[in-house]
Amino acid sequence: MKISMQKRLLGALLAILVFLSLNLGVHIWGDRARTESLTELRSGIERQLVIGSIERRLREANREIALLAGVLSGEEPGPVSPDARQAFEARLERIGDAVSQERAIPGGSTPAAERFLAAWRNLAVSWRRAYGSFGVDNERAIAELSMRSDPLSGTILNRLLPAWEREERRRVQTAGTKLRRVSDLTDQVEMLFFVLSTLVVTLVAFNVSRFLVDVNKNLEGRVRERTRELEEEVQERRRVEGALRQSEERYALAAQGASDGLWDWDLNENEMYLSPRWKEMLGFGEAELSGSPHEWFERVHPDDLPKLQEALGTHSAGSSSHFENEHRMRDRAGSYRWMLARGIALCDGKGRATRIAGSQTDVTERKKVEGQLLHDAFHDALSGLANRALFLDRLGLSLARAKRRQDFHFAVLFLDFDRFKLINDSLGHLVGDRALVAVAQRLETCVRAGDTVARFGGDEFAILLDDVQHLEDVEKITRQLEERLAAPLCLDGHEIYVSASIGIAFGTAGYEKPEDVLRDADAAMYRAKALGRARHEVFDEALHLEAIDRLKLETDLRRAVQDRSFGLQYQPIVSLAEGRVTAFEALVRWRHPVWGLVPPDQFIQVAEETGLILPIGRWVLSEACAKLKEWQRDYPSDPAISINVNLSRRQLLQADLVEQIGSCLEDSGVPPECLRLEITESAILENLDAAAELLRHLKLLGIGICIDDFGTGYSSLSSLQQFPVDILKIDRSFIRGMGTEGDRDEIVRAVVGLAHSLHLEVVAEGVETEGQLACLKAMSCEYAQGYLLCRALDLEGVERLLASAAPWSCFPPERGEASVPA
Amino acid sequence: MDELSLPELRRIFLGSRQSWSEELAITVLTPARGSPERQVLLNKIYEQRSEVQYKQYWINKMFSDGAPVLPKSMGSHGLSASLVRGIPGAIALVDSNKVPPGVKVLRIDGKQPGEAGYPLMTSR
Repeated sequence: MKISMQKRLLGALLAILVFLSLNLGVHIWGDRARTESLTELRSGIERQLVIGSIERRLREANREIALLAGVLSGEEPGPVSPDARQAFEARLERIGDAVSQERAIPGGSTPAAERFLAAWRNLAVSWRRAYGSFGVDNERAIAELSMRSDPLSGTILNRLLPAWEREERRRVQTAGTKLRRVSDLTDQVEMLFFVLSTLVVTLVAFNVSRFLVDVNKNLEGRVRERTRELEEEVQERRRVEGALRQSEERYALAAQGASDGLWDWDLNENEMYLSPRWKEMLGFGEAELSGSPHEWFERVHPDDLPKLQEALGTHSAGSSSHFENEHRMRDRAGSYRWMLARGIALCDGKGRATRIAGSQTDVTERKKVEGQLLHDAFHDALSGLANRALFLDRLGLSLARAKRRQDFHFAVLFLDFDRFKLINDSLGHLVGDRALVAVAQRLETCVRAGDTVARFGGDEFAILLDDVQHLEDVEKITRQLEERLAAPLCLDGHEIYVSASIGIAFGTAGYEKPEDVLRDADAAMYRAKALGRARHEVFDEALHLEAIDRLKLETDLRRAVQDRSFGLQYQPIVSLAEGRVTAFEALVRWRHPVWGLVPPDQFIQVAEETGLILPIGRWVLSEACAKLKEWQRDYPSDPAISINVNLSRRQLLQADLVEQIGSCLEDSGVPPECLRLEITESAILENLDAAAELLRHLKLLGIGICIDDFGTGYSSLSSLQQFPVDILKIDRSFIRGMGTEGDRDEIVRAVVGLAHSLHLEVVAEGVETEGQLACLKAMSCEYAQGYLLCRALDLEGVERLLASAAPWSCFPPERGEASVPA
Repeated sequence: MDELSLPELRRIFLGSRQSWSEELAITVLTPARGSPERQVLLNKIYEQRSEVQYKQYWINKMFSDGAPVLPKSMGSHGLSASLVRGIPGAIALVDSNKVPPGVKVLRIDGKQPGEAGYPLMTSR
C-alpha cells in the first residue's frame, strides 16, 4: 500500500515536471522570437523617427534656401553673412549626422536609403554651391537652385524620402506582423501546452486526488472504525460504570434498606473498617470499637468461630466464589444474636486476597422462625412430642443401626387410646386436647433417655424403644406404661380414666423400611383392640400371616380395580305402607377369580385404607345410575323407582365429589331425586364440617341423603338436625333384637318417633322375621329391607321383579331364603 | 505653350501650378522690388496686394503646403531675362520692350503685350 502510493506520487511528479519543462521551453522560444521581432520593430521605428528628423531638417534647409532666394530677400540677394553660412553648414551637418545615425541603426542600409544618401549628397553640394553664390553670382545661385537644388530637393522630399519612409514603414509593419504572428504562434503553442499541461496536471491531480481520496477514505474508514470502536468502548465503559454505579447504589440502598452493617478488612494492614450500623447492630456507638479484626472475631460465639474462620480462609484462598457465613455475635449486653456475614475478596495480580469486604445482616428473628418451623415440621403442635416424620426418621436410624450391629435391637409401640372420642364428645375438644397433652407427658416419663415418643394425630401415639436386648424388656416397659396410664387424669375437676391398645413390633434387621415396622406395630395394636382393648399385643407369626394375607388382598384388589372385576347386586327397599318396591340399594360385589363373589365387608375396609375405594365408588355410582335409568325406561312407575348408593368415609373427603355425582347424573339421565346417597353416621361424625358442607351441596342438586347404620355412631338425632337428611336407616343390630329384647323395640320406636318428628323417613335394615316386620309396620316405619323381604338380586332378578309388576308380597322367595308373608 | 489665360497665369505665380508637364517644373522669376514690373505683378496678378501681403502669402503658403518652390526674386531686368533663357521652364514678368532674344513671349488671354485689352498693361 505504502509502495504503491509512493510510485503513484512519483509518477505524477515526473509527469508534472515533463510538462512544466516543455511549457518552459515553449515559453523561452516564444520569448526569443518575440524579442527578435521587437528588436526589428524597434529598429524600424527608430529608423522611421530618424527619417522623419531628416525630412524635417531637409524641409527647414529647403525653406531657408527658398526664403533666401525668393521671398525674404526683398531685393536681389546679397552676399550671405559668415554666421548665416556657418549656421547653414551646421544645419547640413546635422542632416548628415542624422543620415549617419540612421545608417548606424541595424538594417539602416537599404537601396532606398542608399538612393536617398546619393541624392542628399548631391543636394548638399548644390545647396552649398547656391548658398556660396548668393551675393556673388546671384544668377548662378538661382540657376543652381532652380536647376539642381529644387529638382533634387523635390525628388528627395517627394519621392525618395517617402519611398524610404514607406520602405521603413513596411519593414516596421512586417516586423509588427511577424511579432504578432510570433506572439500568436507562441501564444497558441503556449496555450496548447498550457491546455495539455492543465489536462495532464488535472489528470494527475485527479488521479492523485482520487488516490488521496482513496487513501483518505481508507483513513476515514479506519478512523471511523476506530472511532466506532472507541465509541463502543466508551459506551461499554459508561454502561459498565453506570451498572457499577447502579450496583453500588443498589447495594448501598439495599444495605441501607436492609439495615445491614458493612465491614471492610484490609488483609495487608490487618485493619478492619466497621460501619456505624455494624456497630449499632451489636449495641455499640459509632466511636466505640477499634479498627482491629479482633473486635469482630472475639465477639463470635466460640462454637461458631471455627466455621467462620474456615469460611473466610476458604474464600481468601480463592476456593469459593464468595464468602457467606451465619454465626452468633455477642452484643454489648452479652447476649448473642445471629448474624449473616457476606463478602467478597479483592485479589492482587498474583491472586492473593488483599481485602475482603461485605455486609452483616441481623438474622436473629429469621433464625428463630426457622428454628420454630424446623421444630414444627418434626413435632406435634399440641403435645410437643415428635411427629410421624421425626419418628420415622429416628426409626430409620435405629433400623440402619440394627442392620450394622447384630446385637442391636429396638421396638416400636403403637398406642391407640380406647374410645378417646368419648372424651371429646362428652367434655369437649379442649378437655380432650388437655387429656392428650397429659397422656403425652406420662408417656415421656415412662421411657428412657434416647427413646422417642411421638404423636401421630388424634389419639394415636408411637414409642421407639432404642437398644433393647429382649422382648421381655419391651413388655416390661409396656406394662409400666399401662400402669402409668391407668391412673386417672384430673382435668377441670373431671376425673378421667384412659386406656390404650398397644401394638408392639420388635425391631430386627429383617425389616427393610421404617414404615414396615410401624405397619406391624399398627397391626398388633388392632389385634389388641380386637381382643378387648386396654391391652398390648406383640406382632408375631400369626399377625405376620395376617399381614401377608392382607397384602395379598391389597394386591388382588388393585388388580380387580384395573380389571373392573366388580359387579353390583341390588337389594329391594319395600314401602311397608304400599307393599311395593320403591328403591334398590346397590351393593358392590368382588368377583374374585379364586374366592368367587366376595361380599363388601371383606374388602371395603382394605379398599378404604388403600384408597382403592375411590375408583370403586365412582364405578358403583356410574353403574347403578345407568341401570336405574334402564329400569325407569323399561319399567316405568309412579313415583319412579330410586337407587341407594353408599358413600364411604374416604369418598366424603374428595374435593370434587359433588362434580362427580353431578356429571354422573347428567351422563345417565337419572333425575336427582331418584338418587339417594347412604352415608354412615360415623363417617359424618368423623368429618362434621366437611360432611355438612358436602350434604348441603348435594341437597342443592336435589339428591336424597340417607344416614346409614344409624344408632352405631354414638350420635344423637338432635346433632343430625343440622344436616339436610331425608331418611334414617336403623342399623340391623337394633332390628335384629326386636321382639326378643324388649328394650330394642322401644329404642326402635323412639328412633322412628323422633325421626318422624324431624320429618325424616325411616328404613329398617336387616328385617328377617315377620315379627320384626309387624312391629315396624305398627311403628309406622316407612320402609324395610332384609332377607325376609328379599335378598340382594342380580340384574336378572331385578328385571324379573320389576317385570312382575306385582306387590312384593307376590314376589316368590329368592333362592328360597326369604319367606313371603301373606 | 504660347498663351496663358490670366487666371492660369495667376495660378502659376501664386504657386498653385508648379509644373508645365510631368517632366518640366515651373520656375517663377519675379521682378525686383520697386520695379514697374513688380507693381504689375502685385496689382494685376496678385490683384492689388502689397509687398507685405505678398510676403505673408508666400510664408503662409510655404508652411501650409509643405515645401513649395518659391518664386525667385530678381534684382534686375537683365537677370530675369538671362535666367528665363537659361532655366528650362522658367517664367518671368518682364518689360515687353526688354524681352531678350530666345525667350518666348506668351499671350495672355489671347493678347500680345501692347495689344488692347492686354491684362498686364501698366497704368502709365
